[in-house]
Amino acid sequence: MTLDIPSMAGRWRRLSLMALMAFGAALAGCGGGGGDAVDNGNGNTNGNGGAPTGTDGGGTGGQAKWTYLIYMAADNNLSDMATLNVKQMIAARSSRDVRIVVQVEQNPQETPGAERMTLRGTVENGASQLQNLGRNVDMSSRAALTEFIRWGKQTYPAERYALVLWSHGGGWKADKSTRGALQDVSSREDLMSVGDMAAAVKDAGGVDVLNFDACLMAMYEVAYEMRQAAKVMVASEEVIPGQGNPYDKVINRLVANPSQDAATFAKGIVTDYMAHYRTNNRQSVTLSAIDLAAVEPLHAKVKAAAAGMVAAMAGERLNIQAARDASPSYNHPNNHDLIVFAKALAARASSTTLRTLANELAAAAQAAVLANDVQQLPGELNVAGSTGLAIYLPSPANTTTSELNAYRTVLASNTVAGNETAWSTFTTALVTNGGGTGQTDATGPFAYGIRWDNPDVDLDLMVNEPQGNWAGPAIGPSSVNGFASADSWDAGQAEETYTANSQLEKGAYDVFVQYAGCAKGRATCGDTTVSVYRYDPSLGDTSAVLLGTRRMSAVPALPSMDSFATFEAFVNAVNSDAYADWLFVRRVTRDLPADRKVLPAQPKPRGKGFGAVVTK
Amino acid sequence: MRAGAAWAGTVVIALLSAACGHGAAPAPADGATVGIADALAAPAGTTLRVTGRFAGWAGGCTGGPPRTRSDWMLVDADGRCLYVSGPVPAGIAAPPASTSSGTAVTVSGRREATPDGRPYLLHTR
Repeated sequence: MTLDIPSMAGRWRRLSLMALMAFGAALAGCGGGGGDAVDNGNGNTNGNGGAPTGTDGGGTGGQAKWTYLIYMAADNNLSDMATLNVKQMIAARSSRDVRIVVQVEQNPQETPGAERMTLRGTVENGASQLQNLGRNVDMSSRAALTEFIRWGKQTYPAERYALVLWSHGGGWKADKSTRGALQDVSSREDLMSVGDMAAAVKDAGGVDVLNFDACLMAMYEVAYEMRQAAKVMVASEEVIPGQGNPYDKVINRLVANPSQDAATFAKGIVTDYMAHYRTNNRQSVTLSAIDLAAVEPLHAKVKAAAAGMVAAMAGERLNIQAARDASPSYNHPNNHDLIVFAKALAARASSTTLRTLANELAAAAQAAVLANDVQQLPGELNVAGSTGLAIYLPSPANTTTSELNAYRTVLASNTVAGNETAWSTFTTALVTNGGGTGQTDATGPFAYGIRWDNPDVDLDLMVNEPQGNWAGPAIGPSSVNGFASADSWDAGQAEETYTANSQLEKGAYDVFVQYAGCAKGRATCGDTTVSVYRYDPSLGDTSAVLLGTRRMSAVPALPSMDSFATFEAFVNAVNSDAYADWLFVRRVTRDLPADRKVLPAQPKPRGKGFGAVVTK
Repeated sequence: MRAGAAWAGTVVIALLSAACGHGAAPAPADGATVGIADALAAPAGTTLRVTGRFAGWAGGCTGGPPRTRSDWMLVDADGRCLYVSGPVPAGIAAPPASTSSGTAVTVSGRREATPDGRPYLLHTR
């Protein structure tokens, strides 16, 4: 058995800080004192504190009420956060009824003194009793996770089990296919897939509470994969603070009432997490508890809604897009709040059938959310209105063909028999408009720039990219296909540029200039002459080329974009030279396939705002 | 016809090459486009556009992510590193993918500092 003795130097080289804390706690237990150790053991609510409840790997002193398994894949840039969280665990109360069992691997480059070895053991009585396993475990492997859970359950049997998956997370996806959470950079760069995590937990017999202390995991797709691995899932729709769970508070809650069931504990984690971030390290956060038994019925409603939207796409596309845009999105911008989307669709859909399906979807999702809380701080991540469960709901500007294809491999949305009308069928239909989409490997950067002679005027360089999204300085610093200079409105300079990436989507890039009005702070502004420059090596440009100049003014003004039935009609009107507030510079093409030169039949410029997507 | 003014060529070349190093400017103005060195030196609260190369979660910034576990890093050729808290730019593959590592990006945000004084850029949508 390995005990909490820091002098086991060869096996205790790391968590140096934790080893020190353990040592300090041990001293405190001998009559010393100070710091966190004063409360440990003494604060036990059932009178069992103070006495060790068993030795590591051996006798457990009988079956506990709960074993709380914390799997910390911290061999990455989060390494220091693991130290902080273990310190919180050490500071928590102890109880014979609650076993705190940890496996942690840190990163020596991030945490000086850390070995790249994996530690495992318990935290109790104000000390960590972590044994160096003598090997660098691949914490992002399915087998390693299963082995840890099995070991924890066999060594510390309990009536109930909670499992924390602590690390980076990326929801249903990261970059590659379905990978979802748990990174170990010394073993591999990728995350463990959601499917592998679910299988790992199921292989170990499942748990009662599964808590992702990782970003972006409160998704329908994740919950569906986990539905047979746990009873309740606790996770966040948005990213989580670096410090993650407040482990002292969570453990104290469990110790205070070890007879609580899974749902009660899960809801308590939400309560403690939100309370913590309302008073400590205040920032915008979300957290929810999901009843995994309600996910199968939700899945049926998701499929039904998907089928309904696919069938009604021709007439409801704009309503669906509007509902999507009305729902909160997150650090991965294609993750949207499911319930808000469903309710927004129910409010907008023209079809009674679709309204019914959307309402049923919202109700099923609401039934799955046991608890949800949100804190929105001004100037931070916009999470207001989040209801606890996100879903993949892409927009053309934010997705790629490879992402759409990867989504088809997610268990909740694959297209195997029995799941034919999956959500992925709907998302592809929504994004592609029935045709091709996404990033390809067209090459060749190009750039356009404008400058004008009247600084009292605000002009905007606007580029309509192949998927119909607008890009340019007034839209934002970057887009799917390029990046932009500072917006002249903000910078106070009468010049703007747009530069396409070296790898970009195939298709048409339509370059415009708009007379937007007077510059910031100017009440009047008058006319101006704009000079347009191009740099396109594919055309032989070796430096910027002046394409020409043009007088621009507020009038005569182009009619509202809404008045044009097609994007081509809009382009033709601008190109007619009848309006002084718009200039069509030219259409740049990059490997445009012949079958896409003719624009689809139902292009509908939508709204005057340039955040709108224009179907091309 | 070639442009007489040096402006356009300079801007285009700068954008295409995504120059990272700027001369040290102790207090860039609000809205200024700067390199990482200037961003690190800027006063907290300054709104900036920072150019650099995307480094995901493996750029060598020390001390852990300043706000969230998804904070990512921007680096320059001289080894400087700045954490950015917020979404990755459009077109950039989110970490842990290495496919976008090294890609030149410009990101806007507000220069902030952690309670222990480590600078970072808060980038919101």
